[in-house]
Amino acid sequence: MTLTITAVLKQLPLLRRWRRPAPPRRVVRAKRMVIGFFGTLLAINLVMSIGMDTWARRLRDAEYFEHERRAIARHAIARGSQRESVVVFGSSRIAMGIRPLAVETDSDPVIANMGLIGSGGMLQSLAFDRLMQSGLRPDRVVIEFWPPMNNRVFRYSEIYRTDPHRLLPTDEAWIRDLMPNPEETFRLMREIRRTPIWCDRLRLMSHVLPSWLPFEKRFDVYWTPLDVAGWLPGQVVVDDSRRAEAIAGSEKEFRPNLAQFEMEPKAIVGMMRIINRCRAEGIAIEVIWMPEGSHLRSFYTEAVRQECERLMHCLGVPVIDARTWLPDTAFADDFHLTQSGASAFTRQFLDHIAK
Amino acid sequence: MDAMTVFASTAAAPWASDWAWFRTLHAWMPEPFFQTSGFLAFCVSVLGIYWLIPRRRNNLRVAWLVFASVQFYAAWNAGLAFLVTATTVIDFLLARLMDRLTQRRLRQLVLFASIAMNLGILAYFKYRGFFLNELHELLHRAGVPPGYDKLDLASLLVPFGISFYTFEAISYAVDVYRRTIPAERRLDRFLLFILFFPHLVAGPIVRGGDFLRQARRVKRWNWLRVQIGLQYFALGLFKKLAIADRMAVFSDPVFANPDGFSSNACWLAVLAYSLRIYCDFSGYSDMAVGVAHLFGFKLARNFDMPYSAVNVSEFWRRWHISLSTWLRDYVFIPLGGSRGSEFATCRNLLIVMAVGGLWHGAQWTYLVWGLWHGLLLVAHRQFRSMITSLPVVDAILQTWLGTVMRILITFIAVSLGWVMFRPDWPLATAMLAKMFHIGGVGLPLMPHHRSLWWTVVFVIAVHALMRLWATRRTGESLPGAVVGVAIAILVCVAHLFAPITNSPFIYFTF
Repeated sequence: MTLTITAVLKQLPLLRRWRRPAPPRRVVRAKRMVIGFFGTLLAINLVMSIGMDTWARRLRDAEYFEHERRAIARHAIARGSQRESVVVFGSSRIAMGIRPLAVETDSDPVIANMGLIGSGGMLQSLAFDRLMQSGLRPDRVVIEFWPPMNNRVFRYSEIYRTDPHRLLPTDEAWIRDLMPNPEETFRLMREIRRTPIWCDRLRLMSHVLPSWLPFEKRFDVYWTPLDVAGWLPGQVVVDDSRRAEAIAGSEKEFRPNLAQFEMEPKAIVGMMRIINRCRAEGIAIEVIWMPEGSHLRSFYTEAVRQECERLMHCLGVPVIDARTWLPDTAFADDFHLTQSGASAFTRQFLDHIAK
Repeated sequence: MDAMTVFASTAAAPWASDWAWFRTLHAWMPEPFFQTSGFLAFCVSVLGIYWLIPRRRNNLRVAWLVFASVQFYAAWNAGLAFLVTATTVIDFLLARLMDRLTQRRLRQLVLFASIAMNLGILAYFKYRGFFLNELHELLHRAGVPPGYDKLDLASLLVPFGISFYTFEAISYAVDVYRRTIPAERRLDRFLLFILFFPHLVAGPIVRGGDFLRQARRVKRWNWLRVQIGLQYFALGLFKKLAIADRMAVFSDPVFANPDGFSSNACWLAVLAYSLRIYCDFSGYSDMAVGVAHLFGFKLARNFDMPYSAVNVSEFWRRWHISLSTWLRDYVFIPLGGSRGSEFATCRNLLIVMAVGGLWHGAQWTYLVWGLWHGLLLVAHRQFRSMITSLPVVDAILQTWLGTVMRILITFIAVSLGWVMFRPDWPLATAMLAKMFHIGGVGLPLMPHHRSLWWTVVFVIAVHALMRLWATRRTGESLPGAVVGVAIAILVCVAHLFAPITNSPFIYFTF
C-alpha cells in the first residue's frame, strides 16, 4: 500500500524532481564547496562587522578601550580607598605627561590618564561620552586645551584626522554634533562594515601580527606600552643633539601654523559638551594648558597667544595654566615630556588639584 | 598607479573619452585590475547576465561577452579600446581573405600585411620612444643635429596588454596561413578570442585553435567549473595580495635607491623581488584562468611552480608557459630549432631569448635580461652534453641533495636576471654593483622584515608539498564544504596581509 502511494506521488509534476537521477558526487562536492566558500566569506565579514561594534569593540578602537579599561580599574581603586577619582582627557601630551604611578601617595587623588593620540576638543568629547556610557562617574574631569590641535589651519588638527574606522554606531550623537560631514561619515562607516576584513585590516593586523606592519602603520604602539594608569611612556632621556633636531622639526611645523591661528569651532563645541555634561552631573571640571618648551612658546605671536588665552577663559571653568611649569630639559621635543619630565609634572599637577 | 590614471584621462582619442558613459565607467573601474572592488562588481554583473541568456542563444552570449570586454578596456581608455577593436576586425578580414586565397604568394602577402600591421602598432606605441631616443643619442654623439627633442618615455601612452594581444593576433594569422586552423567565419567569436577580458591585458597568450573551439561550444552551467574558477581566483588573489604586494614593500625601496642600502639588504631585496614577480604574474594568471572558468572557458596554464625547476631549461617550461611555447612555435622552430648544428641551436636560443626580452619592453635592461637567459640556456645545454660522459657526477646530481642544489643554483641564476628586469639601466647596474660589493654599507632592510622570512618559508613549504603531491591528495579527499571554508579563509588572510597600498600588476605594462 505504501509503495503504491509513493508511486502515485512520484507522478505528480511538483514531485518529478524525485525521479531525476542523483547528481554525480563530484558535482555535489563542487556545489558544497561553492556554498561553503560564499557562506564562510559572508559569515566572517558579518561576524567581524557585528562583533567589532559589540562584544569586540576593542578591535575597532583599542587605544580608547584600553584606556577605558584602566580608567574603570583606577576608579574602583579610588572608590575602595575613599580617594578622589580624577580622569584627564587630552592628546599625546597628556598620554605621555600624566604619570601618576611614579609619584602618587596614598592620600593623593587617583588619576586615570585618558590621553589619546591626536586628540583635541572633538576626540576628548568622544572619549568622555563613551566613558559616561560605560557608567563611570569620576569626581573630577580635566580636559586639555592646546591650540595647535584645535587650529583649523593646521594640518594635524583633529578635524582632518578623525578616523571613521574607530567610530561606533553608539557614537551617533557625537558624529551628528561634531563631525564636519556626518552623512559622509555614516556612509564611510557603512562601507567599512561591509568588508571589515579588508577595510580594517591594519587594525586587525595590529592585534594579530603587528610586527608584520611597517612601524608607521602600526596601531598597537598606542596601547601596548600603556601602564595601568594609562600613561604612555615617552623617551627616557634625550641628548642635546636629538633635542635640537626635534626642536628644528617642531619649529618648521608649528611656527607658521601658530602665526595664523584660527580656532576650530567644533573643538569648542566638543569641550562645551564635556563642560555642560559635567555641570549637569555634578562633576568638577577644569581645563589644562600643558607645559611647553620655551622655543614652542616663542612661536605664538602676541595676538594669537592672547586670543588663545581669551578662548580658554571663555569656557567658564577653572584653568590650570601649566605652560611654564617645567624647564626645557623635561621635554623630548618641546611639547612631549620625557619620562622624568612626566613624573615631575604629575607631582606638580597632583599638588595643584589637591589645593 | 597615478601615472596610469593620467594616461587614461589623456587618451589618444579624446572624442571617445569625452562620452559621459566612458567617464562613468572610468570612475567605476579606473584600472583593469582584478583585485579591485570595481572589477568584482563588473565581473558579477557580466556573469549574471551571461548565464541568464538561454544557452540556445550562444551567439548572444558571445556578443554580450564581446560588449563587456570592450567596456572593460574602455573603462581604462576608451580611445584605445576602439583601436584594439578596429585592428582585431582588420585581422579577422585579412585572415578570411588569406583562407580564401589559393596562391601561395598572395597568401604570404596577406600574412605579411597582417603581421606588419600588428607589429607596426606595437612598435609605434611601445618601441617608438626607445628607438627615437637611441637615434637621438647616436646622432648627437656623431655631431649631427637630430632635429627633434628626446621623448619623455614615462609620458608615452602604452596600451595595456598590447604585447599579449599582438602575439595572439600574429599566431592566429600564421596558423591560418599554415592552414593549421581554418579562418573563423564569425566576427563576434574572433573579437571574443582577442578581446575576452580575463586574458586581454596580461595574458595568458591564447591560441586561436584552442579558444575559438571553446567559443563555438554551447556552455552549460557547471558547478565543477565554478568550483575550479573560484579556487584559481582565490589562489591568485592570495598570491597577489599576501605575497607579491607584501614583497613589494621590501624590494621597491631598495631597487629605487640601491646605494642607500647595504649589500645584504640588496640581496634580500632581490629575493623579495623574485617572489614578488612570480606571485604577481602567476597570481594574475590564476585570477584570469579562474574568471574564464566562471564563463565556461578554459585558458592555458601559465605557470607550473617555476622556482622548483632544476635547470633553466625546465624553468622556461614552467615560467610564462604561454609565452615560451609561443616563442618556441613561432620563432625558435622557424629559425631551425635544435635540428641544425650545435652553433646554430645556441644562436637560435640566444635570438629567441633576446626577442623574449624585448617583448617585455623597449629598454636595454630587458634585452640584457633576455640575453642572460639565452646564455644560461646555452650553458645548460653544454653542461648537459658534458655530463652524459660523467655518469658518477650525473648520479650525484640526481640524488635529493643534488636536486636541491640544482634548484638553488637555478633560482639564484634566475634571480640575478631579475635585477635587469627593470626599465632603468643605471639603477640595475648600481644594484648589481652593490650586491657584489661584499660588506657594502648602507641601511639594512626595514625592521619588520620578519614577514619576508616567513613568506619565504611559506613559499618553500608550498612548493615542497606540491612537488610531493601531498596537497592534491589531501584536497581531493576533503569534503567540499571544508574546502570552501578553507578557501574563504585563504581569501580573508590575503586581505588581512595586504599592505596599505595596492601595487599594480607588473605585467600589465608589457
